[in-house]
Amino acid sequence: MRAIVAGLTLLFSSIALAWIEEERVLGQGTTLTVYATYDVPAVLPLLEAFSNANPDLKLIYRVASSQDLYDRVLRGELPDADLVFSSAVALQVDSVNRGLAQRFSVPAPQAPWRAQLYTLSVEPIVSIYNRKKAPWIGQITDRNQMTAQLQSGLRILPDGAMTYDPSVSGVGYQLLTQDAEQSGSFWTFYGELEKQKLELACCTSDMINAVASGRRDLATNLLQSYVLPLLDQYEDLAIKIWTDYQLVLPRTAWIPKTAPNSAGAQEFVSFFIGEGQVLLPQNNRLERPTNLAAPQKPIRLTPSQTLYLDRVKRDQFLHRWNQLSTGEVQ
Amino acid sequence: MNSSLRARLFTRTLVMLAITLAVVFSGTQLIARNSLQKAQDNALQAVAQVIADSVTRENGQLTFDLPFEAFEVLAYQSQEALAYQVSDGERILAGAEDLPLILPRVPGQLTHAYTQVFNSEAMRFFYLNKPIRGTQSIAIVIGQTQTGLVREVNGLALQAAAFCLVAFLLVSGLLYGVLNLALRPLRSIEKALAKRADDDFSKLDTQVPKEISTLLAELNRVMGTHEKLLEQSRRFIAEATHQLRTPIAALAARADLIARNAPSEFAEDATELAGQARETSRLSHQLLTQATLSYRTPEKKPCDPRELIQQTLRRFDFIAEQRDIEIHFQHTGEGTFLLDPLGVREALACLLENALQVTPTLGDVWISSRCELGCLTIKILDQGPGFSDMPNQGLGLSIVKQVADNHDGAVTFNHGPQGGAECELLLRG
Repeated sequence: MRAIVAGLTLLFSSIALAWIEEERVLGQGTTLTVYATYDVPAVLPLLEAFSNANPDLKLIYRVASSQDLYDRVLRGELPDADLVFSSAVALQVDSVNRGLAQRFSVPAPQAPWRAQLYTLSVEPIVSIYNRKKAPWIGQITDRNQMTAQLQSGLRILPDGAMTYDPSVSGVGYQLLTQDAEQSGSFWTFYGELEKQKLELACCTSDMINAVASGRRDLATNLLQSYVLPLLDQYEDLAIKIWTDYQLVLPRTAWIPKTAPNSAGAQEFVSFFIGEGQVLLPQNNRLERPTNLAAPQKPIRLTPSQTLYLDRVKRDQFLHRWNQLSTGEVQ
Repeated sequence: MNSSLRARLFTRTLVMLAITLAVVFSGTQLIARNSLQKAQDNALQAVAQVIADSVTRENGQLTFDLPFEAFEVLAYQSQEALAYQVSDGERILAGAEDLPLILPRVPGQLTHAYTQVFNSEAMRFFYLNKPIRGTQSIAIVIGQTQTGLVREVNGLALQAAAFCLVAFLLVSGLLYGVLNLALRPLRSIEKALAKRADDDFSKLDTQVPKEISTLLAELNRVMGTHEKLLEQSRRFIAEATHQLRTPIAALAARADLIARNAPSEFAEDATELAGQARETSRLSHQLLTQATLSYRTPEKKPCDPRELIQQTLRRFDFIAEQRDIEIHFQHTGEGTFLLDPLGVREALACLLENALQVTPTLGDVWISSRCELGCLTIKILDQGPGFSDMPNQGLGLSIVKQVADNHDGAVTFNHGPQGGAECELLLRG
């Protein structure tokens, strides 16, 4: 009987946590539960260092999709969450904007929003191209120059380009909408890419594979972190950072008002943005080098980000995006 | 009740000042809040207006934009949570569905600002209604938390408080100075009175403001009156002393003479008459002495205590000899002493007279004096019965006490070490 009960408990827990993509438990003691979208391998050294520095804490690090996390937070289904750590800026800002987060103060290199939403690391956004098939892209400096080349009427990208499908990918939608707000030439640029042939992808890996294999010449709006480890693997794969500006996606964290261990969560945030930074890849650290190729435009932590979560705004953007394929957008 | 006039004026004016400053501070805070509130309302209205201006009709459907840049402008002003809602009166077209919607009280009013709690935080909302056609309209509500505003108001209030405090301190200092200036005439009157002799009733000629000139005039009038009364009293005492002392002394001497020469059948009556005459002479002398001492200002001057005492003792040589009483005098210490010689002589006379009176024939009276540490101590020891049978010293004791007071001293009476009474007169020079 005991075995049956134990089995059922395990089964229900498995079903309940089925949406968790990965879980890592470190240490023993008071539980600190972090729900994150940052993959475990990328932060494991930092998690281990934090656990070693806090031997009285049992760190449970759970990875899930940002939308899943957001939906469950809003429905109040994560009473054990001490920290919500995600790169989905709009969803994070919206959660805090709804009054779900608690205020806290730790020294931070980047000012938090309302002392509630802290940036823990950053993700610079890059484009990639196939240096064998489109070596001339290496000579192009900024996106206006690229747009001018595209507007020449020649088929300069014979195998076309790729970017996220904003109707499918959350991060893709976030990056494209922000790009559209930041750049006056956004619609022209993507309109020209569409004329060359623009394939929409659900995932980063699809874009990297397509460009690396030479199936596509160019892909835009990728997280640099995903590309860098593959540069050695694919010799034709090259990174392009337009010199006009570079979008930077912040990975942010907030502590729910209902957090059982908010002190531990504050400690985690403090460690992450403090001594833990050196354990992150160089390009994800908050301290940015001064010799950057382009001025960086971090996606700002403002409630304006939530506008694109609005159905009206989303429909308007996607409607206009879809018009790219018909050539109606200029 | 006895606090100084300056303290009372100062504290009451300070209270009034504090109240004034508190009102100014609260007013500043209110104005700052209203001003910042108005600025926030204007910013919210601007965004609502941009949304309203973007409304178009496409294929019978109302469309509008939620302008990212306009919302960003709000975000740049202050880190506030945001909420908005766009509706056409029937349906919510965009934004939060659970906004606390408060319509204007005045029907037809197109804009309206209000504060309401939303998501557990006080938020400022701006409502804008844009009529489209007929009864159709679009209502836009946009709201922000007020964290920055509260912080700003508190900052301004703190600044105002700091300025108010500085103003308070400055005005308090000035007020203190003004009060000192205003009360200076009173203090000059006080000083002029303080350094006067007790019997100086001359007019005060201090220049005073007209507010207290009546007071000064009244003071001068009262002092003039007292001066006249004192002068009259002095003249009366001097006259009485002059007119009474000699005839009464002569009367006593005549009575003594009669008593000595009276025939035996009148001897007893004559002796009694002579005794009463002597007592009358003694009492009238003491009475006039005390009156003289009371109505004059003690005139202290450097005196040699030994000589002063010896002078007094010489007045009693005759009486002591008559009664075969030996007076022993011993003085310790050198130098002069600041004394009122008339008063000291009279006080000593009273004490000696008493000592001789109670000491039996062939007895002794010891007088010792000592100058030490700025004090003159005079001790008189008799061989009388002590205090229990001492005659009523009456006016004599009163004179001694008065002289002691005039010299910041004291008079004490003790039993002598071998009977009798010992009187100690302490005088400070």
